[in-house]
Amino acid sequence: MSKIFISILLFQICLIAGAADPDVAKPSNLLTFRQIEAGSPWLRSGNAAGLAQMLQLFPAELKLGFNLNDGDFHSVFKGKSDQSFDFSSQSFQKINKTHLYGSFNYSKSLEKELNFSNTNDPAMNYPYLLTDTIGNDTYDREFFKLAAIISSPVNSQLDWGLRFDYKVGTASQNRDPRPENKVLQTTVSPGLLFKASRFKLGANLTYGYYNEDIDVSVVEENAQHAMFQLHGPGVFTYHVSSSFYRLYQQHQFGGGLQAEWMSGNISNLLHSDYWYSVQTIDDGRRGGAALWAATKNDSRLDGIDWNLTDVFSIDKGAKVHQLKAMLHIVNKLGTEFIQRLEKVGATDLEHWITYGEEQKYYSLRSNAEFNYQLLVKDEDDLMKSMFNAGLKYSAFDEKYYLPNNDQRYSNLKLAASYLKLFTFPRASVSAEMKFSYQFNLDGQQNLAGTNFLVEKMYGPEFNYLTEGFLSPGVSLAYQVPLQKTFDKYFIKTDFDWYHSESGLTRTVFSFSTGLIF
Amino acid sequence: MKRVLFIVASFLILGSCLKEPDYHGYKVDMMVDFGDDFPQGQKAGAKVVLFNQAKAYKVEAVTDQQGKVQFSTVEPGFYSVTVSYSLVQEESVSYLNGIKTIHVFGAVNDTVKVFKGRLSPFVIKEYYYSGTNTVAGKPYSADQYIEIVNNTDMVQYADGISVLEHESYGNGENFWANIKDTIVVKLIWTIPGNGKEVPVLPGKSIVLAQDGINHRDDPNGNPLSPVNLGNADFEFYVDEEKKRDIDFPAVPNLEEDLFVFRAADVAFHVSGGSALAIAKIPGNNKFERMQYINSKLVSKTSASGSNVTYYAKIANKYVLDAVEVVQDEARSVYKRFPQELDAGYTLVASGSRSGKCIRRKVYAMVQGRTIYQDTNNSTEDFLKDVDPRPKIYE
Repeated sequence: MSKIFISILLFQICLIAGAADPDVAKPSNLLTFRQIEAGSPWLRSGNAAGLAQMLQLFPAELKLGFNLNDGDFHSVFKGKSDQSFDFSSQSFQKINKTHLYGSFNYSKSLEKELNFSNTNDPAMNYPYLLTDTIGNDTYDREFFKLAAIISSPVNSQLDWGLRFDYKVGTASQNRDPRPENKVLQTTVSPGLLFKASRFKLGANLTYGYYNEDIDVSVVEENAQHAMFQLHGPGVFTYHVSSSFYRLYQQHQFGGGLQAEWMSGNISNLLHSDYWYSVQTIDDGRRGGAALWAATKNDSRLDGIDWNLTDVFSIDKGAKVHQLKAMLHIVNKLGTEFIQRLEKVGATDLEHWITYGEEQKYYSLRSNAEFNYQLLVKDEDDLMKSMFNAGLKYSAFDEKYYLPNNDQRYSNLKLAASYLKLFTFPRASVSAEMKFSYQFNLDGQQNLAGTNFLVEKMYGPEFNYLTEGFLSPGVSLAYQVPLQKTFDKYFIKTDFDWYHSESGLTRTVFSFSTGLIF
Repeated sequence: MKRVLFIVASFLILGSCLKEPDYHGYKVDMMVDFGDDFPQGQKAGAKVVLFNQAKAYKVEAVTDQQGKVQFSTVEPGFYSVTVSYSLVQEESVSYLNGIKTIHVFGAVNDTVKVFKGRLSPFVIKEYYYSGTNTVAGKPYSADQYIEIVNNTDMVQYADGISVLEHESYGNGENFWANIKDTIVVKLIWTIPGNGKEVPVLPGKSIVLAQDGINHRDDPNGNPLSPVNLGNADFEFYVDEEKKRDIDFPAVPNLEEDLFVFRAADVAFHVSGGSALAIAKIPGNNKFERMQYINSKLVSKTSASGSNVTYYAKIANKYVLDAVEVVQDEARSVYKRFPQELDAGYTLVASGSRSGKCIRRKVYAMVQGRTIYQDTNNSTEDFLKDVDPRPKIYE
């Protein structure tokens, strides 16, 4: 595996080295990546062909970072603290008429005081999670991520593009029962963009694949532990063994449509993405023993992910006003397999025989967001300041049938931030103030009965999800120019603090340093 | 253009949501068959338990005057139905039990027949088979034991009582299911004596140990063992040429009558699956017992056809008590003991090397004597995953 990543790293270095002499050489600073993200709605549309519509800025950076997330205000499926070190590089560049973007990230992290998760990313696998109840675990993770986008014109009116994302890594715990998770996630998305004088129309397709292979072992000789397979709010099965195997596989298919209308300094981009996904959850076990020689199909999760976004922009040169409205719906349907272990065939080996499939779980997550952004630029078209204010409504409704359990809640979140760059003869400093406040609109949890996992997981998790909080934050960055090879050196620190209604707190701190060129 | 966008957006919105689950809940009607001679007015109140074998949860209901019970919305799956009923007649209590496996993939209308359990003077109080680890992390199961208690208010004699282990570990359908009114066993060890040599006081017990030592202190033992079996009443000692089993002289030995898979010592499956019974086999001494056993041998040919193994079938009427121990819930469908001996099953759910055992529930304390629950349904009668406490009566 290391050879693959050395190759990826070399590819990245080549890409970054090539960026030293782009066709269009414009200065950049520590806010340029942020500016590109904020000022290029096409980049967030999901259509790789839209890369050519980005702000004509071509920065590159190499960065080392440290991140710390610590506190009691967290999901029960997460640990109390999570600290990570990462190395990353990213670059935009243009060669002839072809726009390119590449990024590479390596991260090593430790998630500590984790009590209830044996899956790497519980949000990805919810509700079909795997957990034990031996707490105070530490998840040790090592992940590599690669992203690449290319966009090039076919003719004066048509651009094509391709986006590729790849993530691979391992996560492992250090106490019995100790899972070792091998995760692979990849997405490929080709796109086309048609350009007319006042209109742009785009379309893209997406295919994604996700695979998480979990091998739970017990190092203590001949000891056994109960592994819980969660099926929905308050519903689970368990299996006592000295080992356990689980495989999550997900295929995702979809695409998006984009339409932009422009007139003078006004533009409006409407885009929508629609994905269908199917995730299967299989366990390797035969009765009391855990092994892949007999596969038990646990469940299947079908999902729909749809979003509709409209970005309205007024570009007055030095000032760009942007209004964004977004609707995002995620809908899931869970099916369980009814199987029985039976001896089959001439060998009398035991296999799980399927007697039926039963739809049991349903969830609907709806997010609606409205955001205003003001971006102020200097004479070099570089961002001087940015103001953001937004309102986000989120609602979640999930149901499990027989026993009939359901829970629903909705929250409203207000957020605002102001970022400003201070330029001095030999250096630049940026400062950002952030503030967000979330309050619960309603919440209801109706579970047919209680059990250990309801008391330890579903009850506390519901409280966390419906709890209001306020969060002030500050971000400071400092950059100085360099004389040779690299353009600038920067250091940056972010600090966010969450304080919940019940007095629980969480601190998110990050520090990064790197080179811009 | 607007019209096109409207059509596209409408299509996406309409197609964006999945339908709510098309789930099923079926009606399950069970009729309890009490038999023809059962008093008509007393069919109400039998407890019927529906146990989902995959998800390990249960729902309960009691029968009406006709002996019927209805579960209105039952999720599809495999269930075991157990019926337990205590009948009070002329100041004596008798227990009726029934068990059945049903498949719920549509409305079910079925009948469960109940059998009257015999109240035995001796019942199995504790069965410890899971074993532990040693300090070095090695498996240790020499501390296995069976405890038999006198559940009456009179002195009972235990000599002549045999311990039996069913032929199967319950990993598949019972090969012997068609041989009615008997159980087929692969192990018979008997408490020696002429029938008046091993008195057991009311409420007291005898312990049959694999090895009769204080497992926590003895050099041959394991400091992590949960038990001291130095005061056991009998031990399993396999007298063979290689002398691999140590004979601890302080504890007398049981008599070996049948040990089909003869090994260095008698060891029960640490993961469960060894279904046990105690019986009073005809015969006043070992010779007479062996005559009976040898006259009741049955054979089983291996799958390849190359080996024939002989087991003994013991009539149900000689069985005093039986406990069907399974390896896990999924295997509970492979019932081995008939309902009149044990209408349920039990297990140490925390698994092998857990140091846990199963123990019979206490029914009552009468004048300092502990009376143990005996409804002939081990699902109801036994506590799971408890710490071994031989000769403690609480």
